[in-house]
Amino acid sequence: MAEKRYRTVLLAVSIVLLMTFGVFSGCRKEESAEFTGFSMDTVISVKLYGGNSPDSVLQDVSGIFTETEQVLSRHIESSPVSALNRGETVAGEKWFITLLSKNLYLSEETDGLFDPTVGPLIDLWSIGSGNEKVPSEEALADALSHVSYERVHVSSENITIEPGTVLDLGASGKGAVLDRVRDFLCGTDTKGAVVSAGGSILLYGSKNGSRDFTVAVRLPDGGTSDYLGVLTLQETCVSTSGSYERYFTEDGVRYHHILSPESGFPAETGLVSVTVVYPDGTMSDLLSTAVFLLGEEEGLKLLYGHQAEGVLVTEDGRVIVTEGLKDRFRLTEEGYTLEVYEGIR
Amino acid sequence: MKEYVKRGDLVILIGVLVLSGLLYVPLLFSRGGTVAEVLSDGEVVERIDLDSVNEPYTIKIRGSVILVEPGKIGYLESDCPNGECVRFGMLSRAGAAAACVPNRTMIRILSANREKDGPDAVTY
Amino acid sequence: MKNGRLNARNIAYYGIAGTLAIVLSMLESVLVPYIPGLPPGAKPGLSNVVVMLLAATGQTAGLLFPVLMKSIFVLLTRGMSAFLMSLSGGILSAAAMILMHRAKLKSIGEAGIGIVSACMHNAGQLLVSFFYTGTAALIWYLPVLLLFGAAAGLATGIFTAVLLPHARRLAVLFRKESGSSFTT
Repeated sequence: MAEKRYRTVLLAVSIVLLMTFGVFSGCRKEESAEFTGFSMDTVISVKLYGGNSPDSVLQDVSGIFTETEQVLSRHIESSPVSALNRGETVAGEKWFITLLSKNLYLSEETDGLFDPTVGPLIDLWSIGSGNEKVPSEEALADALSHVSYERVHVSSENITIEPGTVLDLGASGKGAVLDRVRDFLCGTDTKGAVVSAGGSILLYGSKNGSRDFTVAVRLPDGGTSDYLGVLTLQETCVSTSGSYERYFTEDGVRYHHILSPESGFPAETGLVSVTVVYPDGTMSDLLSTAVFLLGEEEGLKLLYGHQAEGVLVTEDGRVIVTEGLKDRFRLTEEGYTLEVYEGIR
Repeated sequence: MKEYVKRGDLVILIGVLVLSGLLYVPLLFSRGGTVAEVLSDGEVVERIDLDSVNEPYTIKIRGSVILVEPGKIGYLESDCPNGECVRFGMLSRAGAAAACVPNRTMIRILSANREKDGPDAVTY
Repeated sequence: MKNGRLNARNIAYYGIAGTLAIVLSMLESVLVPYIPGLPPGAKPGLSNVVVMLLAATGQTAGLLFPVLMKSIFVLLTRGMSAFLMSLSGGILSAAAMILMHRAKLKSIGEAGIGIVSACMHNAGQLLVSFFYTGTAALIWYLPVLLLFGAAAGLATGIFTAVLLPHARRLAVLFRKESGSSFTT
């Protein structure tokens, strides 16, 4: 008799378990893991959805950030970039060589209006250090004389730069790490991710069954939760360059951190912020800086040539979106007018 | 009749009726939902704001025809052997759902608190 | 399990039971469109009477037959998804019947068992639909299913209770061969 009871209970319990399992397997609220930290001189935030071990994937992603910083940082003496800037020949990893190649390619494409060898300029202005002042003409001329992307030589295995040249990859570092993270995630069972590296965003996969993500564009000169508008996007990367991010003021004039390799001064092209949407993170980062440096007309042509999408904000309150974002951008702030750029006819 | 229905049976009957009633309660409190989603194989393929629908229109998905009207959505016809999906009628309440199981499609109306709770990321 | 062993005589008996279940289910599908206000997935469950009678007479091994045969019939007529739903509903429903009979509760009769097994059948179908749609959103439907399940189960349960004495007499014919023992 006891045996019968046991069997009965076993049967009842297994039914209940089966039903609970059934209900929960249907639920689409996925496992997710989050992480916010500081790396590569900026705030990092990672959100992962789905997969069996999001926490371990999170750790690996964090490792990728650290590793990338070890390669790109000019503050780290042992980094390949620092070694290059000292005149050494460096055998680079594949991703590093690709990164440099993209930088050089864009420099050629813009005839040097964008240039990654602006190290001397950046050091001269040292915006963000606290004791900035406008440099003298001679100092500027001297720094400019060392700026030339043609002095960087990249082969399929190693890189050298001519003496006096100083590389600064700040305009593409964040985008590059996003590409590395995305490539890593592809090899995991993670279903979706949202990664933010200092305002450059990686959108990957899907979240809770939906492939749409929302990315807000911060209002120039606004606080952290003040938005200009919201983009609805699927898997891609987003980068923004703005004159409001880092600057100092002297005698009532604002000097921002996006320095022109031509004039040596902060670029004055009538733009306040440029947001670029492009599947390749490195390129989205590079293009956002390049478009800012080129200005509205040439910048939009550059985007069109790359089939990239973007949102430009001008000093006179106009918000220009490329055609592909026409139905994907919602302007939420008042006082701006929306225009659509329809490409070269 | 008495030999056929025993006291314990009535207890069970009342129990199930009460359970059913309790489960009905959230439905009574749910208002009309705004956003409807159409899913195929568990992935959202269409998201519709029912409030901004002016003219009724239809969506064809995997052999079923879905009718979208202002504030309502439902299966209109289907080629599946069951034909059950059509019997769900038009959905309008938040949390309501209908499915065509053989074709693995589903319609659901999102519950109110799933709406806009902030962007996934901010670019700056 | 000594009840209802699977020997040649029993298999014939169970086969007939299964066929009967199929016929009743066919009859049901014809009638269903004429029932007003019937929600999707809810059915009177006429064929369940066969299963319940087998369970009530202790023929637990025999339960396999109507459940499987009916599900295979559904597979042939309405496809894979309907098959899985029928099978899962049938298994849960039969399991509930077995459990309730084993528990030997004096105050619960076939009516109560009918209600519980009908609700379990609906639950099984709902579970399969979760797998197919990839979400549990259909669970909002549970109260409706329970309501109709209770009503249908009550009806089939009463019907079973009415038929039980006759079914028992039939089962007696197989008692010696099958070595079954059940309460009369």
